[in-house]
Amino acid sequence: MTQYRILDDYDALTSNCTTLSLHAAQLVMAHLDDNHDKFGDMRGLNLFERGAAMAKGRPDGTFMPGDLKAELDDIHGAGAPRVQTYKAQ
Amino acid sequence: MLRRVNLGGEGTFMPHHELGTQRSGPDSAKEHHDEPQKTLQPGPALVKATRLNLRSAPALHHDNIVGVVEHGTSVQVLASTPRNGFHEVVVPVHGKVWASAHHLDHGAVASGHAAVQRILGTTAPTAPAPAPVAAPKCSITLLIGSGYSHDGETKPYGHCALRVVDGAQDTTYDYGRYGKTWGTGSSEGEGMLRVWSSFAAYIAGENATTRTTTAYTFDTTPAGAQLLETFFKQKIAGRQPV
Repeated sequence: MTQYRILDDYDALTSNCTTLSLHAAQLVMAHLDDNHDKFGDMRGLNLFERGAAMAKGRPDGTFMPGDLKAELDDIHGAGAPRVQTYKAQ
Repeated sequence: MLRRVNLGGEGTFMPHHELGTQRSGPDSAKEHHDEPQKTLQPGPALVKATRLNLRSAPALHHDNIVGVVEHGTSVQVLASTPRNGFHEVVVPVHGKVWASAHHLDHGAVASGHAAVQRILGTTAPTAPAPAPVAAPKCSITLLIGSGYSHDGETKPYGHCALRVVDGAQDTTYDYGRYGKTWGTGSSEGEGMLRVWSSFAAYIAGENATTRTTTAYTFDTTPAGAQLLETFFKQKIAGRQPV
C-alpha cells in the first residue's frame, strides 16, 4: 500500500471516502447517485451530528457510506451490481 | 491534403482526407460563440488529442462518459452533419465498437455495437466494424464498510473505497482521514489517499476491524477502467508517498 496526501483536504460532508469514490465512479456511471434524496438519511451520524450537518449545509449528493449502501441495494434489474460480502470469520 | 481541425476542449481529429469548416445551426452557434462550427467528412481519421471522451446515446448528457480513446486511435467518421455539434464516429476499443461524435457542451452521440452496425448499414456501408477481440475483464467495485465497535472503540460512520480492475491490474483506492485532523469532532483533516495494489491486503485490514464490507461490482469497458485510473493518477500526480 502506498499513501499520498492529496490536494483535497478531508471534510466530513464534502470531501470524504464516499464523495471521492462516488465522484470517480460517476465518470463512467453518471446516474449512480441520482436517487440520493431518497436514501440520504445520514446513516451513521447521531442526532447532534445530523443537526450540525444540516446547519452547515447538506451537500447535494450522498456523503455517508450507509446511505450509499442503501442506494446501491435498491438497484435492481439489468443494471444491478454483483454483490459480495466480506467479514472476518 | 491533410489539415488539422480543432474540435474543442477534448480532442482534435486529423482526417485522412478532406475536411471543412462551416457554421451550422442554432445549437452550434449557442455552444461556440467565437469559434465557427467545424465539420468532418465521412471516412477514416485519427484522434489527435491526448484524450477523447465517448458518450452514450440516446441520452445526450454532458457527463455521460462511457469511455475514452487515446491519441493516435483510428476512427471512422460516419456522419458529416453534426448533431448538436457532435460528429458520429466509430472507434474500435479492445474489440468493442463505440460510435461517438465529438464537440462541446451537450455530449456526444455514442452507441453500442448493434447501433453501429445499423449506422454502418445505412450511412457508411463501406466502413467495416473491426474484428472482435476478447476484451480483458474490467470492473468497478464500490466497497462499503459498516460501522463497528472493536476493543472498546466505536466507529459508527462506515467507510467507502473504490476498486478498479483493468485486466490484470487490480487497484483499490482508499481515501480517508488518515492524517492530521482538525475542526469540530475532527470533521476536517489531511486528505490521504491509500493506493492498494493487493485487494487481499486491503480487505484483510478491513476485516481486522470486525466490520462487514459489502462489495458492489459493475462491469465496465477497458476505457472506462482507464478513465478512473487516470482520475486517481491525477490526484497523486506530483505527490510524494507519506
